[in-house]
Amino acid sequence: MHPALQAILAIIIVIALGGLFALGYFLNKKTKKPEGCEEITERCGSCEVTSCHFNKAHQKEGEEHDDTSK
Amino acid sequence: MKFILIALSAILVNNIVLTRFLGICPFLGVSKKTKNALGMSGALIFVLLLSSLVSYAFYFLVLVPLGLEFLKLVAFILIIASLVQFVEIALKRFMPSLYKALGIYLPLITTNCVVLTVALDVVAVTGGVADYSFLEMIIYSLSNGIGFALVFIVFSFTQEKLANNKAIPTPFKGNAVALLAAGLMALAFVGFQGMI
Repeated sequence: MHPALQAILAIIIVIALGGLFALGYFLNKKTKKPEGCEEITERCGSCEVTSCHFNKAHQKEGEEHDDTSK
Repeated sequence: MKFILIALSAILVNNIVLTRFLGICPFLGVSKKTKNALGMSGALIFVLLLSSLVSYAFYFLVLVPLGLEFLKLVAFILIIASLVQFVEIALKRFMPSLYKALGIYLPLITTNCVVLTVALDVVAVTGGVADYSFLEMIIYSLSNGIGFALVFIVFSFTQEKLANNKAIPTPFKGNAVALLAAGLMALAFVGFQGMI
């Protein structure tokens, strides 16, 4: 296969997969949580992974830390 | 016999957490409680198997015929991230009880390097021949998930003991003593190397 065509195909595949992820993310945000799962973050108490968007407790800690650093 | 060897190797001898130091973030962060470790392990096994299946199919049916093997890393990252989003949607809509149990761990799995490494492992090619057949790929993925779960759950027991231990000096508390315990656990698993 011609290298230029291969490069174009590679770009198309990456864009398509990126678009798939964006679509999934958008749909996931729009899908309502089932009843009883609204307060799912309560179980995050012992988790130290702060990057997770579920973990509101750690996000608050992060905000407080930012405030003190200013 | 080969399937048993693959399974034993992935679970005990070449455990992905203890020999390659992958997935350390949830290994230390989510293992404070055994209940959380169980949930995370269940979610990881499920996503690991699913992502390996999709990545394997995508690699050999799309990337290889087009001669785009170099794209596998970027493609697998996006596939895993997308897959986790769709799994979360499916759980929210059709299996609320399962979402309640596992849903909280899914965002963590998106960035879990164990999932990506296993996806890259299963498409490894040596001398133009795939290292794993389809069935071997499933066994390998499942075994790595089980290996992760085994270490994760056993480590959570240790973490629970360490959390309530007042004899630990202050500088060693938290992740310091947890890493020491993980190191000892890795040494213990070295003992399995004579099995295969």
